[in-house]
Amino acid sequence: MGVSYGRVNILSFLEEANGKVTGQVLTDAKIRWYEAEYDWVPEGDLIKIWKTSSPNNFFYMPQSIPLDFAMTAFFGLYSGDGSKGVDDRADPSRIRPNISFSQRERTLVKFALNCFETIFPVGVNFSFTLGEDSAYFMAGEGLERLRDYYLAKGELSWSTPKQLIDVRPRLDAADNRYLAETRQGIAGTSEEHLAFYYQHKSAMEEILATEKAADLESAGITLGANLKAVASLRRPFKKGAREMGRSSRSDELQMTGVGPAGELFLKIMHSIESSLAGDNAVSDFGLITWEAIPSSLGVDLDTKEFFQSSSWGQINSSRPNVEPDSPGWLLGRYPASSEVKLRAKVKLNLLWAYVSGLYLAEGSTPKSELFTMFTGPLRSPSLGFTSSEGTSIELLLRVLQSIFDKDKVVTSWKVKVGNQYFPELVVIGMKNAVPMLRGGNSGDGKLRTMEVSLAVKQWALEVASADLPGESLLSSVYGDRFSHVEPTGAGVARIDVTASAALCRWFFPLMMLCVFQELVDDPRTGFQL
Amino acid sequence: MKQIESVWTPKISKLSNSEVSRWVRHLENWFNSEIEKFENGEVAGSTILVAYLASQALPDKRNVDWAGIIQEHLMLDGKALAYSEIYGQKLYKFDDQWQQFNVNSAYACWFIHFNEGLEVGKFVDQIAKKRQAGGLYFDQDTSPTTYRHRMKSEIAMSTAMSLDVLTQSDALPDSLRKESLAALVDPLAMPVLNYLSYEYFRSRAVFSLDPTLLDRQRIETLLTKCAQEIEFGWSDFVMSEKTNDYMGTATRVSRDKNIHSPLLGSMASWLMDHTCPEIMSESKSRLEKYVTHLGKPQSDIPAFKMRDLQFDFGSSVSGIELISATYLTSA
Repeated sequence: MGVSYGRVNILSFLEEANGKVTGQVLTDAKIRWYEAEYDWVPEGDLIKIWKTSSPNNFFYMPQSIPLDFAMTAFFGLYSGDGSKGVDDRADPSRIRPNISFSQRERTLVKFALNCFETIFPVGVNFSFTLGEDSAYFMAGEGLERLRDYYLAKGELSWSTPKQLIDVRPRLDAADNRYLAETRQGIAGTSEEHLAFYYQHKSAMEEILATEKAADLESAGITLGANLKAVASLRRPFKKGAREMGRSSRSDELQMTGVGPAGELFLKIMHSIESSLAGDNAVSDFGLITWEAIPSSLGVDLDTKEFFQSSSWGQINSSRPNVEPDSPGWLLGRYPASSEVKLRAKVKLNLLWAYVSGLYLAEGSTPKSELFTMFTGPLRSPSLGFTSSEGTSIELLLRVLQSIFDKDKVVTSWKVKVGNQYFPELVVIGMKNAVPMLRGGNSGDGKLRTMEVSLAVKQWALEVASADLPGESLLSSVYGDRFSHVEPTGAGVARIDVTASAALCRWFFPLMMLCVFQELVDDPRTGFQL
Repeated sequence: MKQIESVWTPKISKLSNSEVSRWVRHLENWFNSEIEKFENGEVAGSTILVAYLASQALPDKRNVDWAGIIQEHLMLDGKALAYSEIYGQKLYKFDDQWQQFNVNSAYACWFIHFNEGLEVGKFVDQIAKKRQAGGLYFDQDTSPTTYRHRMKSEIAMSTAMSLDVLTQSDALPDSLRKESLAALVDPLAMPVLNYLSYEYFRSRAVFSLDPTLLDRQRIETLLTKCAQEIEFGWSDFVMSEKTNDYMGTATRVSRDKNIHSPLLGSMASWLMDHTCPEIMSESKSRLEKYVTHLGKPQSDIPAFKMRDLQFDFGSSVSGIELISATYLTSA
């Protein structure tokens, strides 16, 4: 446990709020509310908590949880990669929160596991799920793994396709929906694909579960009675994979025993974020209290000293050259990289911690590189962030501006729009007396029609400033760096911000320090790789 | 009284001063604002076309050197540009990508020159070069996207505009005419889609070649479908029928709301003239109600919203919408 700068005061919050927890969630442009009423009883240092409507379904939490850098970063990480819940079937404006965490990178999984065990110290079972499209096993590497599996068992006729009626005599509703769907450009029939799925389901699950278990062991996570590795196979080409042999992997950390905690957990996460965004020492009902206003708490960093002597301040075992520039500023350059202007002194505060976690979850940089970059190359440095929520973008920009010349923080930004909203883009074009001209061979490049891009820009600027007391940084400082709309993917319109790649070598070490400094002494050796 | 008609609008004639409605006043404000932009070099093929159409409708005479503006800002190497250099700076790092020679800009320049009695040959040539193998017209040079991934509405709009130019300029030989017609009515090249604007432009294109080949049933279906989800007027598509391109399954649209549009209303008014008496009667009745709605002081021209977010996703009021609202409420 590192230095605590604040606390999550669960017991006092429940007492102050009479056990009532309610709030709103904004995800994927959907605004949904949540609500729960809790009862509780202290038991030593812990609290036994349950929903008033369901007293036999309880969970335990500490009476208060210290907020150090790691725990604050965890909530940023969860804000990015964590599940917020599902629509209530009877009322889609309501969300039924659940707690699960999507992340493949094993060090982050271990980090999240440690934090979950602090938040829910008793009575929780964890399962690590490796989800995959079963199309992966139809060709290429996946098919070879399937072959090796069966041959090791002496099953030589494994590849003879079986009929669906034989492997799945009774179809359920999900099977029937699958058979009714059409999939463009894929060889074979839906019936054949579904037969493959059921014929090899057990084998595929065992292959993936074994892989996941080995992966976790290598990260120092020992499986046992309350820690299991399981596989989850999707029917072929259902989501993601559009060719045989292609992977569409999704990894999740799921928990049982914390079902009723969803609303309280969401409340904690939102209260931490809002207290940091508003720089408030106390959140609503005192759920979060900081030692002082959050921006004043943390570590004062001498930037030059950090990059020239800290074990965290290096890339590929090399250090940058750092020289004074104008008062309060330095000029730094890594070998074979561009010169970067950065502040001589930086306050690594709790906002840094939260945003570091958020960026680890949602940033464009491949996660594996962040753990190997201290001793190995940073192969394709990029600093980008995509979100449909303005607050996340605002917090990232504040952190980047706290160290870098603001002019370099955003090189450009755009809006990505998924195919579900292409009809709307066509109408927007029509309202401007232009057709919608796509870009690139597959149509997911830069939109060629300026009028449509300009029409959507205003929407993005308003989204960026929503829920903020004033105008957002994206709007006030970088509004003129909007480049285009990009029709790509499937989902809701979202803002995609790109920063200068040269900032990566400076930002990433600080980001990793914020999240892992209390867990790892030396990043060159401390991450189990 | 002189009437002009583009593929974007029904026949427009100059309004009298007694016909000045709320929409006319909005159109006038929009027009004046655009002219100011033209003075500053901020011109697009789309904006100059709509401004020209507006000038033909607004009661007061407007002395604008349209050809001069085009020559100064929208011509390069003898071809019509989609955007002026100043306009091209409105997007960051668009660099020289504003130098597009598109069907809609050639159409805009042709239309203005044609109605001003000026030489149009170079624009007719520019349009003719947009013909693709198979007989349809679109901007393959500007947008190299494969046919399968192109928006079919783009192809319908561009073909309608191109054929308007070529047929009125008597620049479409019979063999090419037949090939284009075959493509327009071929269900593979131009599939049956439930988008009102797509069908409008496709039908305009067919009508310019052979009015007897209008697909009346298709039009009737769309006029009925696209009236389902909104109280007044027509939407461009049926929100609840959106499907995933890949799987053909319904997408979740419960949080998305459809919108009406005077432009779609004017498209519907053209389409309904080519339907059976029953549908024509129903549609005209709906149009009357829509016009009444547009005539109320509090009625607005809406924009889409992105699910629960309150902000306008894209345009609400635009020049072509104001022209359409003006036309509908003064017809």
